[in-house]
Amino acid sequence: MLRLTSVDASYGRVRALRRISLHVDDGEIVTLIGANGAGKTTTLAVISGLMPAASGTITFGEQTVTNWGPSRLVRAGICHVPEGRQVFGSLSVADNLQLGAYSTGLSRQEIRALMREQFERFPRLEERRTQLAGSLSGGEQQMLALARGLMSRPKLLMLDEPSLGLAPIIAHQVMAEVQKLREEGLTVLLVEQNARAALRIADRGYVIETGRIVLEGSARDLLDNPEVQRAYLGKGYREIWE
Amino acid sequence: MAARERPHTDEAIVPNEAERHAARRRAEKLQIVAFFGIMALVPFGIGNDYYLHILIYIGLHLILATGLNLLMGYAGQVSLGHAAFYGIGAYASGILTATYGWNPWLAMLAALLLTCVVAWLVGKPTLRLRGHYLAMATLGVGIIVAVVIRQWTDLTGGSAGLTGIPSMTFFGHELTSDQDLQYYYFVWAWAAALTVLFANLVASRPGRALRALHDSELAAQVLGVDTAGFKVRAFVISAAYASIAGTLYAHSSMRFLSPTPFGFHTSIALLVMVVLGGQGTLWGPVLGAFTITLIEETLRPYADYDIIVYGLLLMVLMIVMPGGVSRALGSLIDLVRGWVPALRGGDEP
Ligand SMILES: Nc1ncnc2c1ncn2[C@@H]1O[C@H](COP(=O)(O)OP(=O)(O)OP(=O)(O)O)[C@@H](O)[C@H]1O
Ligand SMILES: [Mg+2]
Repeated sequence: MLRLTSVDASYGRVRALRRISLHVDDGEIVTLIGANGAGKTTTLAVISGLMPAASGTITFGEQTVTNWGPSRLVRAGICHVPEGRQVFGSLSVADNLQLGAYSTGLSRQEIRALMREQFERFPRLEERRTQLAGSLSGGEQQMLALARGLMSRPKLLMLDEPSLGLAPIIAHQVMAEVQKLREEGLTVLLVEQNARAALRIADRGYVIETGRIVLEGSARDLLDNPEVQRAYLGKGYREIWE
Repeated sequence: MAARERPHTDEAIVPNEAERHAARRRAEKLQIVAFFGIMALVPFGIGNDYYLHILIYIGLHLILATGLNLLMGYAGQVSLGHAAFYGIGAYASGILTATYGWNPWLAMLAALLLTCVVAWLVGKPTLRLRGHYLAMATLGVGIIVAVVIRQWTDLTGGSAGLTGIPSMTFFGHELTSDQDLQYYYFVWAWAAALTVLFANLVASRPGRALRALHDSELAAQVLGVDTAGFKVRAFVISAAYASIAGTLYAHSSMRFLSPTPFGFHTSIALLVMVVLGGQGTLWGPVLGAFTITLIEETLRPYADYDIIVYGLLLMVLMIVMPGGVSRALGSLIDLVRGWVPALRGGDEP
């Protein structure tokens, strides 16, 4: 479904991505894990058109989409739920959802039906539909960010650290929701610092370090990989120490 | 109502903020309409031409502040040279009518177009960049326009001023200089129309997108909102408001233009009006225009000292009332409303 081939990107002089190649197949959950500043967010930004790719190609389905603008990519079916939730705090929950369909060109009825769908999926949001998004709890805001993304009827859902700053039990609910979405036919690219949680629900994963993919494999293999365990799963400190 | 049927859990008690905000916004619209109604009656209460004169200035400042409010309160950008657009509007109108004998309405349109083109040329490249590049660029525009007005004496009359500006016509009727009352209604009709336009603009779909990008530019971009394009449009509209105010100034009772009102000084005064009144509110520009115009008039004998007052005001406001006076009043009213039933021992739990 999605394929990046040798993609480079930089912030001015700072090169953030070096020859990134990765792919996500239909119906997969693929996770991208890495430390702070490794380039995870930048990778998503290049895919969703927020940032240009300096070189390399990106294909989505049958199309080459390198350096398309965000609204065109949204219409093509790519949805990017940004890091830190970024709900529109001074607008109501319903208005936030409405804006989720901004680029789709859907009719009012279609948007209303989509909104109903989101409310069925997240009943808590329906209870708070007229409340300002800024007054929701962190978990509710994450649900809203997710629901707002789904309003564009995406084929590929890209989530940037959806469990960041949430209590473990809420983070768990978010992950369960992601799994459910995959069962409904969505393809997911999941960026996480919580590598364990991500690898548990993912099919495959990539490890990114200072802008390069250094490791890839099935989620199972990555969970068992001693390097990954040491660097990202917090296991085996003692063995190394002693 | 649905809220009543819900069981008495925490959620049921939480007030629906957005509903309350929407209700307040509707109420605000009515209040604003009522306000303009009252302004239509005010001249009957005052027999003094001086006060009428000041009220005309307040009307002009209201138009200017409303435009700047769109830029600051909704697009989240600052213009440090808004007086320049006011000046372009005034001088383009003045020169075209006085020197070239154009019809005032045609000149107004030409001035408006010129202002929009200048604003677009400034906004287009700077608003693509993240950060406050627009503030810097408008500061530059303010300086350039001030210098041009002062130095290009053949065209503008320089510091000696531009004279011989004809009066505005309204359906063949001349709004003559010894009739301040007519001009008062003319200016305040413009102010009312432009305020209503502003209210509708921010309540529309593009208005909602504008508010969204103010909250989170990144999220708006991700959803495909052309954030740079929206900011450019908001900036051009705010400059257009200033241009209209400029034209109205040029044809006001003095029908004489000098460089002074279009300098940095006025840009700062406008900034303070918006911040003082409350960015992103409907009442903000009204409160700001009244307060600052009155301060300006009071401090007129002390000439340049009012800029110090503005500086102090800005600092104090940012610390004490970052939401501006209209928001502070709004919370106060809410507080009182909450108290009244409690004092009465009413049926509210
Ligand atoms: N706006 C920016 N300007 C300049 N450099 C940036 C910018 N954003 C990110 N970078 C740099 O690019 C590199 C990759 O950053 P990125 O945000 O993609 O990392 P990340 O993997 O998402 O990190 P985190 O887990 O902290 O979110 C970092 O070295 C960062 O300093
Ligand atoms: Mg990141």
